Amino acid sequence: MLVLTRKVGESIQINDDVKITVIEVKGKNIRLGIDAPKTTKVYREEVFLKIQEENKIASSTPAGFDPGKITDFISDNLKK
Amino acid sequence: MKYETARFGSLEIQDQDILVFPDALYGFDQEKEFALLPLDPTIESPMEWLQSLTSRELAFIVTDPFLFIPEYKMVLSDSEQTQLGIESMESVVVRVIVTIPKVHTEMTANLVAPIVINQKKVWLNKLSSQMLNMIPSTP
Repeated sequence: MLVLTRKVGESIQINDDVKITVIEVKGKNIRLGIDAPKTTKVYREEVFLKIQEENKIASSTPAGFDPGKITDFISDNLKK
Repeated sequence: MKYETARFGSLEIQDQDILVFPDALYGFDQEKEFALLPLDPTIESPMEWLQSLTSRELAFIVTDPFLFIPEYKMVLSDSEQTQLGIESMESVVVRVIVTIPKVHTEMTANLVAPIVINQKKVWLNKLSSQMLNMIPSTP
């Protein structure tokens, strides 16, 4: 991993179009500003990992699952 | 074209029914083509399969979030609309992935990362994306 030291107000430029600026340092928290093209996807890492994990779990539907039972359960809930 | 699936065997799927995910699904970088199939052709169900056309084993159960939460909200940014070739929201279909644990009454739906489908085909297929819904009030 590339490690750089920056002061508040200083930035890191990634490629031609992504700039990350240190906005504020307060105790253990660091606020970063990110300038990037609209199409660049920026996530908090834990959110990104959680969604990946959720997809992985959802992809393993139990083998013996019963479509009828699940549909009935859902339909009952819809009526309420 | 013909596709092999673990659950449905060999399937004939037309180009216009193929959902193309240019950015794939989160955690499944290689999975860019899917099709929506009935949960079980013999019953009416609000759930469907999102079947991978790349990996025969891979399929997700999905449903329409608005059936369960009429006030469900989703924000599509301008760039997301452009990426999916969306000209009108009327052509947009939303599905959420459902997780079914062993005890099926504990099933959950992932409202944070809905799947957005542009029903109006772009080129040959329907462009789709799993997006992150950043609305804080999402239940």
